[in-house]
Amino acid sequence: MKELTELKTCHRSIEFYLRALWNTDFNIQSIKSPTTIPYSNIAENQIFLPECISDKLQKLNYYYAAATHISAHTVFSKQTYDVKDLNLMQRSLIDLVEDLRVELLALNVFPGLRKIWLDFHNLEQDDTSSAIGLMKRLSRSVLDSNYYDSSQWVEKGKKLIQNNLYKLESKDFSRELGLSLANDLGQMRLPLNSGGYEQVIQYRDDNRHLWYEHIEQHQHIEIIKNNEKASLDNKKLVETDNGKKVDIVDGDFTAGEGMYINRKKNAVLEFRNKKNSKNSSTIFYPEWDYKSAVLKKKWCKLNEKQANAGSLDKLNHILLNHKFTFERLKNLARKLQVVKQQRVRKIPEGDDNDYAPMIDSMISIRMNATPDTRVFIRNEYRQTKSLAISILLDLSESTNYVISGVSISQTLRDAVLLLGETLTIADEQFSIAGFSSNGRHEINYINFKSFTEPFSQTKARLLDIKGQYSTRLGAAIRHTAQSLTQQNAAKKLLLVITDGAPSDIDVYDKQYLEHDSWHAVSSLYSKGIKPFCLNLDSRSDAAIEHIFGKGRFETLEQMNKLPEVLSSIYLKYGRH
Amino acid sequence: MSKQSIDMNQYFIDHKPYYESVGDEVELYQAAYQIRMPVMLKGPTGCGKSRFVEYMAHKLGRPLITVACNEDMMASDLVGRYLLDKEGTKWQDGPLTIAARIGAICYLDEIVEARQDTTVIIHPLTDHRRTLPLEKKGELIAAHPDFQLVISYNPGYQSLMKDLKQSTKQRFGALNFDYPDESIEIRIVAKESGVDTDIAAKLVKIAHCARNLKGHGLDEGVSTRLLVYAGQLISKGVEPKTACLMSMVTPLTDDPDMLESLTTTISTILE
Repeated sequence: MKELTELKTCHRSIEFYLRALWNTDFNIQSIKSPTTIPYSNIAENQIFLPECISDKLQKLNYYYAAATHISAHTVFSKQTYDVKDLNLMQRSLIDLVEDLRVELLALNVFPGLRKIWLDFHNLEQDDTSSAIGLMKRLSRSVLDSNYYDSSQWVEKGKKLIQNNLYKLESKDFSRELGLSLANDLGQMRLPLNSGGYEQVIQYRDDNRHLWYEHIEQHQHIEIIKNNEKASLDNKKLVETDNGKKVDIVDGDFTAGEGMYINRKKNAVLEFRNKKNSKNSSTIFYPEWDYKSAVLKKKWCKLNEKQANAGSLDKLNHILLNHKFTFERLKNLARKLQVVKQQRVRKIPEGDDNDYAPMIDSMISIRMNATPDTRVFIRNEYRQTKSLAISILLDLSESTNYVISGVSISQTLRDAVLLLGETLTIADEQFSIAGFSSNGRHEINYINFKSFTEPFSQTKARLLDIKGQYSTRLGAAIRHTAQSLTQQNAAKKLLLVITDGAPSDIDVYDKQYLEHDSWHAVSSLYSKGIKPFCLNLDSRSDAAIEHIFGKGRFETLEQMNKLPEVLSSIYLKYGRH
Repeated sequence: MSKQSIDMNQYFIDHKPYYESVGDEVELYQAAYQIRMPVMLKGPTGCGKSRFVEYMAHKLGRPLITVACNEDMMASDLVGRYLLDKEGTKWQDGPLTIAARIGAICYLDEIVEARQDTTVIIHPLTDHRRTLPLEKKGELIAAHPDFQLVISYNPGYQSLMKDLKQSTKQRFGALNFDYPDESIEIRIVAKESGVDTDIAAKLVKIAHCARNLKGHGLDEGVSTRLLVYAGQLISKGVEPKTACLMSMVTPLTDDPDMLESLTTTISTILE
């Protein structure tokens, strides 16, 4: 049996390695298609490597060789060429010279890369009479100064490149030298073996980023892929209420709990929680009228329901998009987990002597006074569940507003997903809910995760986040506080994530809902709940400060600031 | 304990410590000392904060009392406490009290490690009052005119969970420290460890690569101190790759993937 090494066994260490070399994040992904030639997406720092390779290649450090070569392209290849008017020979040689150019530039910075790459330039069984064979030998002779070749063309090419080393960074280097070499090779009447594109050296990528044609094609394929995906999303198999008959539903999938299967072969099977008859309920909440200073009883009608689950595939895709932020958050969460040991001083029984109170007691004895017997010290683990967090999301129409290509609700969804994953690792108990309102008779309160459900089973519901209607914050805070008060935890935190000041269609006084929210927030303190607000739009900072108070909110405008903002929230509330 | 019985000489720095200035920090510190402004040194571990304090104490000719802070430290560990002896109780000055009495520079290293209720003890010493109340003893010490307080901390990952109070932070003038520039760092490594500049340059290059990974899998980059260790091992005849692994990789991380990539990085640079 052929032994294979999988990319996943070393992809993390290669990412670390590339970051160490170039101080840039690279994203390594595996190629699942039958082709095994690596390729890259330079614009997004993505490197695509074969999913698995033979052990023979692994011994040569194939993945490292391929990844460092592509990363050298990312760092040094800024040039694209037009395929027009070039024949295959010319293109192949421009490719080869460009490969050598970026490798030489990388070797200037890291000479040690030479060994990794040279291991693939073994020439023993090469056909000396083919163009490919000559190109391999040229590549070897440029990288290996101890190697001399018998072919005149190879020696000439080597000299040509060495004489032009001073202009390695020039943008015409590869085209100029490549064409000149192709001309010479053409005159030798050596055809390329296959007649199609062929990569000369095994670890090098297909250089698709060098050619306009390929770049356009690549984008085209992406678009087709996305369209395919979109049309698939609309066709799902849905389990009906009695659980037997299965129907294919076209169009928007909204109703129901059950199971659906994508029709594609590799479709993901997803289960939904059975519909709970109690999952929609109506509760009335009071509202604060600041003009008459009266708490109007049963003023708002709140409908609570559960969000619909979406596809886990999409969620994983989101996590992949925020991979680097997520990594940082995971590190942070693990650190928070560690800080759980606490030293309890001045106790009547313990593991060790606590010297300060012991000396005090001795002094008391000498003074003929009654000594304090609490003279011991003990290490204790803090109770794991000391913090309960409720996350409340503002899902009003304004969250559909698009800032630099991303809607606020999307940012919200991604932030909450990351936050949820982080809190799960940090082993904290938390709940997630969202709200929107359409007048005081219709406040929609959507439950994404309750305290008792595990996040892994409920996170797919976050895809149901969408903006609609208005923001009646007060009632939503009062409702969230209800469930948070029932939690058994030393510290309770209500984290509101919003994109602006409260407003509703039946309220014309701008101050009214702001004051009501302030009232709802103020009443939290007496219940032992600390409020905190994460504001996604700095324009509403003044209103948010009025509602939550100074230092009780933070403005988050970029997703990548999330770890910092999160850590500051932990600093204020999660400290032990 | 009376003022006369303290042996001041033990706190003086005998030999001039080796320190490469990276900016105007020496002049700034001197100016701060002239007005006795408390100074805070911020920077990653092993970048030369403690060495700088020693260097300045030597340059200014003042005794230096260093306290390494930890989370078990109590206020009495700084100001002093009553001890018992055969005759009764005896007051023992703490390091902060001694420094305030003799006019030394008191250096509280890694101050964030101490609990916040401990650090507030330095407040009256670090404003216009310049006094230290010894609560248990019922004494109020006016600080010696030459006394100065210096604290250091590492604003890296630790400060996510431990931080100084604003009321503490705002009593200090701060100097930001970082790993020195490439050329200076090469000079430091070559001088401290005795390796030639070629090897020192390679060590510094490895350190720069590893520092790229800070926050992306590593909590801290390779410190100048570790570079010096690596250099010292090499000049004792240890093979360079092994020396680097021992001093610059293994102490940093337990993550096998990270170990592998750092090892590969070292072989890429050392060839």
